[in-house]
Amino acid sequence: MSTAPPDPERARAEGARRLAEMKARLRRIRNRALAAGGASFVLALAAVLYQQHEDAGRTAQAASGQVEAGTDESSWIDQATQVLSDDDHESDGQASDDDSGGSSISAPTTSVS
Amino acid sequence: MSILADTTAFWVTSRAAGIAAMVCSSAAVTAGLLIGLKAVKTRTAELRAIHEGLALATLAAIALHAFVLLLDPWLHPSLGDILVPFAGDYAPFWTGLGIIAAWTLLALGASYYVKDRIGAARWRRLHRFTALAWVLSVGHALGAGTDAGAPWFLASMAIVVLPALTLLIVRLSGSEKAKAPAAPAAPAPRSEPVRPARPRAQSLLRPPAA
Repeated sequence: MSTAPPDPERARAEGARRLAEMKARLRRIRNRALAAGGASFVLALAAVLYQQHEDAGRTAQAASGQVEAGTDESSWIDQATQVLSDDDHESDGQASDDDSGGSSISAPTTSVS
Repeated sequence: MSILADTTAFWVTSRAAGIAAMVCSSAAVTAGLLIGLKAVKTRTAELRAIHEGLALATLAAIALHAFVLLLDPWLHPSLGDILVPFAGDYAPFWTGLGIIAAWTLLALGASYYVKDRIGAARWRRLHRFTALAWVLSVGHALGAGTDAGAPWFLASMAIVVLPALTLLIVRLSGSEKAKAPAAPAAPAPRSEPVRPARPRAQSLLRPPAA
């Protein structure tokens, strides 16, 4: 049984076809890797936006905290003012004991005279 | 949507592009080192295609990272601040490292397409500097990155950077071993005849002279 002699033209065409197929396959793989890079950008964008949102929330919280601290401060000032006012009243009382009445401003003048 | 509507849109896009560049470059370095170390015996052509695709994605992301910064109204850098290392005001050292890394990656990446002109051996020697540029870019990301302190950023960096770093250490230690001179052989006992060293490479590659 004799085998047919190989056709060189046909073998060359077959080789070229296989090479073209392989190149096309590799190009597809390369493009998929490129697309994976694009997907990583989209994921990174989502992560950065999340971070931005978190930071904005934290900043807003810190700002509201400052406002609350400001309110506390003002109430502290109110309390301090109240204490000072009470002191004034106490000194008024002492002055009135010594000088038998009169305002706290006029009391020393009265006692000197 | 309010985030995108305000002026931080360019800054956000640039950050995302920088992170994408970091991820893609680390994956590309991993693929390249796997090829170089011959760690993958089959499908090397496919791995090479992945390496090329990731490298192209890295270059695109770097270009976007830099170009979008030019439009940022808050930082408002000049073209020189973006292109010249250590010229800008924003974190000059770390940004400078990033600019050097970007130029090196661009030059070495583009050199692949003129490999035939510069010679395969010379190109391969040059291509090794890609790893150095990648190390500089990791420094840039950690030193100048706005999100460098965020857990998600550090976790994603660890996932992509550590494998590449491990392979790079393996590669470097391997090449150091290859460079190191062979340890002097212990003196043979006098009773045994000393055999002349066979020129192995020559005997394998060249047929014996007639």
